[in-house]
Amino acid sequence: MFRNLKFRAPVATIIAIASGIIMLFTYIFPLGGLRAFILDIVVIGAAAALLIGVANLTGVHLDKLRKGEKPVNSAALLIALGITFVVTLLQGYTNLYPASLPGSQWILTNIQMPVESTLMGILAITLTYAAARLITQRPNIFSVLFVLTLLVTLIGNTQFGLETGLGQTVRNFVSHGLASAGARGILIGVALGTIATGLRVLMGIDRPYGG
Amino acid sequence: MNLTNLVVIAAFAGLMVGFYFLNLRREGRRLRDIPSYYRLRGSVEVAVEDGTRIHVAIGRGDILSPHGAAALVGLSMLQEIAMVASESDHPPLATAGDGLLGILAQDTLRASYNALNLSASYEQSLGRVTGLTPFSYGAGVMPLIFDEAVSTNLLIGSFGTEAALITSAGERGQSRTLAGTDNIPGQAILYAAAHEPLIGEEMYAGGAYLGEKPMHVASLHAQDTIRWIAIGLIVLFALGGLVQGLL
Repeated sequence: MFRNLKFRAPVATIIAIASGIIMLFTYIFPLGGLRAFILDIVVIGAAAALLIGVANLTGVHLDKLRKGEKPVNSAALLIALGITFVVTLLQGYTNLYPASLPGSQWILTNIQMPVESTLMGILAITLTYAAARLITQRPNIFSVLFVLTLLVTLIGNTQFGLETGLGQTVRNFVSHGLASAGARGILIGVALGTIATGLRVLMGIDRPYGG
Repeated sequence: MNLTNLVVIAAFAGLMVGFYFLNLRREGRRLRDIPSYYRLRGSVEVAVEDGTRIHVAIGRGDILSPHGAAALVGLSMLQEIAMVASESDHPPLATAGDGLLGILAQDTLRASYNALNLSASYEQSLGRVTGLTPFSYGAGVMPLIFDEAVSTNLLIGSFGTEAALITSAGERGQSRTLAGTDNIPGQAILYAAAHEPLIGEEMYAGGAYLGEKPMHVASLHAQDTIRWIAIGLIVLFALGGLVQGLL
């Protein structure tokens, strides 16, 4: 029944453009608490979307479980998701969930953080490999500069670098000088791209809402 | 009243409209070459012919923050790719690390299917939320690249360090990765880890290179004009400061 419940394209477009223009005007003209009021509504919508996201994740893995595609992984995910959801939900009711039992903070500290630290370790190896591969895959002056800067920065942060003063030089010249200047240049480009994207949405050229 | 904001936005919009009409009279798009986009077009065509899948990762940029613009670009490119590749045996797959972006990805795909009269073929699972934290998102995307016969990964959105996990999975799955992010550390990582990295504002040019819509091209010309004005002002103020210091 709900499958066919959808906004017609022009209606969605009009709502999106009107909301965007109103929000833009709240940043330019003093319109009282209108911006906060609209943002409050949107934040509630975003929270609902978070739940829909969890439902989507659950649906995908239930489907995988049903089809027998890597069922162990999907089952582990669904069990972990279910336990975390129930524990976090019940924690709000002290009469239902004793404080002596491990709660969501325990899950975060003892399960999620070690797993994410492990992924961070994998990331370090992955990045080292990627940097080493860069010279062979894209042999140009920028790749050489990238790898050289990486090596100088790494050596500058070792005991040797700190004792010889290389670390200080690297921090002053590379990190605070070259890197921050480059980052500002990139950020100007990103800011202009952000404005252009916003204006295209406001003009109805880009309609990332199925309109 | 913040008049500076109004002037900048009005000037930008005016330039976009001006370049739109100017470009209608001129022949050619007059855009600089970004080879990554030409290779992406090639990869999309090959994927359609080979019966392999294109994976579009929109990242986890909060749509309520400035990072949302990067996600909007990702959605725009998802739409362009879906319009070309949705009829293939393995239609494009979108992943997001945010509930709202997941809904928008599904909506974008559904709209593309409707436009192609393929509504019956659309599946909700083509737009997925794989995780809601940076690493859980990356970890959720990794197996998907192996399991779904992905030949091309397009990472367009807001990504941090987790992007390296996705590109490494692409590398092991022997799929090509084109990637851009609005995050500075993320860009450094993608420069080393992606096959085709997009630096700075290159990511925002995707619509103009893939879709060739006149207003996308006009917005790029407006961006270039404002950038040169900004460069001129920076140099002018720097010289002004220098002269003032010398006097």
